[in-house]
Amino acid sequence: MKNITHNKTIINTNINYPSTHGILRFSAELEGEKIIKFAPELGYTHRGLEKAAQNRLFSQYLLMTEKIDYLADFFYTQAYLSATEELLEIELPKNAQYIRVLTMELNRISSHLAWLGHFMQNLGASVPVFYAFNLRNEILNIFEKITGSRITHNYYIFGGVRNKISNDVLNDILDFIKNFNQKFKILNGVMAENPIFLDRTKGIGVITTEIALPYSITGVNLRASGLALDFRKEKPYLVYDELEFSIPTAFEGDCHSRYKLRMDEIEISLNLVKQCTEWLLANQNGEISLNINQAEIKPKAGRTASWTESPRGLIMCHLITDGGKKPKRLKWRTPSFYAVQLLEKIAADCTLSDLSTLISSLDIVLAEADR
Amino acid sequence: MEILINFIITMIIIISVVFILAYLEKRFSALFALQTDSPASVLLQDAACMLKLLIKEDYSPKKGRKILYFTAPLTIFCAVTTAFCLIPLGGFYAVSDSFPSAVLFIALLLIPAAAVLQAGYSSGREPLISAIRMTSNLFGYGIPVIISILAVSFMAGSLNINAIVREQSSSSGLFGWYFIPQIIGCIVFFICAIVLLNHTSVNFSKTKNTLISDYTAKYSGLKYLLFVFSGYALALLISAFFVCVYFGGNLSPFGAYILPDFLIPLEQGFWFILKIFLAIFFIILTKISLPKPNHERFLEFSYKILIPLSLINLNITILIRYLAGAQ
Amino acid sequence: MKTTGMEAFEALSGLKKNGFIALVSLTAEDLSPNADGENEFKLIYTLYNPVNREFKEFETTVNDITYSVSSLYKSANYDEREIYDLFGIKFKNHPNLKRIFLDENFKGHPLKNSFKNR
Repeated sequence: MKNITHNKTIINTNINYPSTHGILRFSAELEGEKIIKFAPELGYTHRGLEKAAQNRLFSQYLLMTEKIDYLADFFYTQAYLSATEELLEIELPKNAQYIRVLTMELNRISSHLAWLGHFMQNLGASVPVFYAFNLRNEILNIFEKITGSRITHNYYIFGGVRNKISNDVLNDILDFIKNFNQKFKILNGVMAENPIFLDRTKGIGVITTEIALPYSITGVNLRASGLALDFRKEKPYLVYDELEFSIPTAFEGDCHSRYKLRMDEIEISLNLVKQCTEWLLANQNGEISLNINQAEIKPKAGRTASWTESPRGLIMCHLITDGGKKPKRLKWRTPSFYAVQLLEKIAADCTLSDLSTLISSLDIVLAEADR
Repeated sequence: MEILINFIITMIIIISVVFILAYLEKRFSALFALQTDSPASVLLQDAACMLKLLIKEDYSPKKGRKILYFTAPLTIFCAVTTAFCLIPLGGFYAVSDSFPSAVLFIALLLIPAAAVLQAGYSSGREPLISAIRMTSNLFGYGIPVIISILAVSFMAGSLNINAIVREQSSSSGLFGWYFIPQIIGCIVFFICAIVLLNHTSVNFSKTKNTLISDYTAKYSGLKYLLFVFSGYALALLISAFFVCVYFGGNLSPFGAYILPDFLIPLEQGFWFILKIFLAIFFIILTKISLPKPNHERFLEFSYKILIPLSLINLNITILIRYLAGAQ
Repeated sequence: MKTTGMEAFEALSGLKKNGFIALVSLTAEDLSPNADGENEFKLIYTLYNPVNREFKEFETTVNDITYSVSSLYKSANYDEREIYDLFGIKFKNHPNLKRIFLDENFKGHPLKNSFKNR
């Protein structure tokens, strides 16, 4: 128990600590209320997805990619397909690319909304959870109309997407965008000026670029520290070089700026969804897939890596093939893995009551950290 | 024999009142969160929850501290149910008019603070941390309550709750109640009530995000039910106390009672229940809309702001009474 | 570039001095058995320079033991633990070389070519 001479206590958490999405166990050494050492433990959701790739055909593994991160599944599928389609040396038709960007940006909004509800609940406010999840529910309903399921969609295939999006659904998306802004203002206004909220998030968990870059942090966590690095502009893929969007940045690097950036990102993604929907309404007769035989995918031998910007950061899919029907080596570089590592450093200076806010502000999903 | 029957009747009334309060709290929270759910299902859920808790396996600590572990929920339960007899409902009152029931009431409300510490201490390391926080919160927010009640008792001239209620009756009805002259004390009490109501997990389904684990973590079954029940009962008691002291208890806002003489107890009961209902509504509304501040902020707020405010209130009251020449 | 052991460490510290301060990803591939019948792995380091926004890949071939770069790049700590866990490559001077995903008592390294699937 407590070591009275040195005034330190060691606590172990049970594995369902509420502020993480998934299972993270940590043990922390406390001195009074301050944390001195913080040791997280990963591996509770390790499913061996990298090994599984070596024993499956390319099209069989496609379904497993969307289970890596259940909140942002389109991004992982896109990352995998990016790498494979580069080795297959095929170019997607324009309509397919626009549909992929449309669904990915909607997925980004729904992932950020899920994060928002979760973040608010960790601060003790139980009402914004419902507001955020109601909004997210509308997006999931749109996904159901497009793909047939709400969370893991099985929509992207080699060479394009499975079905066309009908005009009705495109008009539904435009209606959704119109109604979204007003509801989002309410959601934002619920907390943004609240002094208790500002007090609990400003100045907590400051990450500077000097800390973030050696720990290989990307995504919103890095942009909140001042470096405008977004892989949709840095290494453009699909049709991101034809769409107009900006990259918001903040400079304080604390929990509040990460919150603010994610809210800004929701609005930017909404604008991207609007641009894609309008393009698709204007160009309805394009091909949506190259009609490749999905069972006979044999990329040429080689090594490639795809770079995708997911809601949590950079996803890299390293694919090494030898000309056969199964990948030789597939490695996922996932952003939450590095965020957990960063926790070891920045949790070491905060108090126990701020720990929950800190962990949830980094938007960690343990399923993708453990693969 | 008669005492036993009285006891059973009282317990049945208290339990059903708490049950209704639990339902109300769930309903309000759902309303504010824009969820719609049929009322029947919520009631049945609550009943099922309570039944489930009764038949759960009983856990007991292996080494030491068994007595502390077992008596903690009992202490809270006894303190809370005893406090029920001090509330005047419909003119029925269990103690005499010269008894300083306000003091006893507050003392009974603060016993749970010690019992929480007892529960945490006997449970282990992480529940202890949570219990220490909860206790420091309760004491920090209990002190402004005591000081505000002192101010009210100076105005009323007595520490007896029934007397305080009676002193608020005048022909001007609503405007004779103490929340107008004692507005500072009223606001301070309201803020303290919001914090004191976070006592135990008042909501069955909400996960407690305070810390690693709640101080009730190692309790299961009937003992846990006693903690939860006391949380709800405490909510009821604090709002009833609030209403008695500042809003005239069972007095009518029109000054005189509307109904004929023999129905007056009924009307008193009606006004009392209506006011408690409104008080609980506003307290839950405020509690739900705000995020929870940091633990240090909680204590800072209470010691640096609420206690000085309530002391200022007390001093102003004493000064005015002295100048008015009352004894 | 193909180098081994200490030379890789020195090459990487040279790259770090030139501004490549972020190790974006560290991948490993199992090429065993090589011509001598020994274990051979290829490590691929992806580096990033925030000043001129440049990405660079650096490859090296190792046998079983190599030097850890966690003193140069903090993110290599978890990366190298993962590679040790899945491939069995040991890193010298690593502050905490334990398994990260699998259980401590697990025998074997799953992504090695010599790992028998059960």
